[in-house]
Amino acid sequence: MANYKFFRQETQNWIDAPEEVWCWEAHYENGQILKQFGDDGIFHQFSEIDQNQLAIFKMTSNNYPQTYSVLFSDPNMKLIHFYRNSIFNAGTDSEERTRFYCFGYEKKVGSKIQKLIMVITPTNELIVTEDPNIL
Amino acid sequence: MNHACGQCGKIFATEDSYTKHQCPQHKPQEAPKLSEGDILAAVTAARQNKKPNG
Repeated sequence: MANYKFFRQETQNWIDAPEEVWCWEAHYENGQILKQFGDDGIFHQFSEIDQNQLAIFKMTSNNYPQTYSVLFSDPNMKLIHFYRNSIFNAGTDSEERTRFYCFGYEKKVGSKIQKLIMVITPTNELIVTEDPNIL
Repeated sequence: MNHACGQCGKIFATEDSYTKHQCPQHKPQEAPKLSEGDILAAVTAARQNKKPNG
């Protein structure tokens, strides 16, 4: 997979960021798109996403044709994105590392927080849950 | 017997005619084709409507 460049403020130097199997894209109301792995070779952090203008959050892959999108039809929806990593048979010859790509939103409805998380599994299934901890 | 779809009043004399019958209402409809631009426009409109000053 291609390596992208990321400027680390703490150390003031450029480091390599390997491309993920699944990458995010933030599509803004004005049509602009911020890609986690930019076409210019720059890696962008999640914190760079302007959630005030976010209309569509999309997960894409250079390996697979499908995409998964969350429509931010309500400005009160707050974007969530994180990874869940697992190691099977750790320390053995058959050690296998897998990553679950989790994304979704939470929104305050009255006094409650409504949350919905989509999970792309290592076999590229999409699971929708309000509690990704059960996986 | 009446067809299982409950939408047509056709009466069938035999099981064979029943199972081979295709209701006009059951013809698969072509899914609407939405472009990315259409979706973005719809989402943006919905967001604007829900903004405090929208």
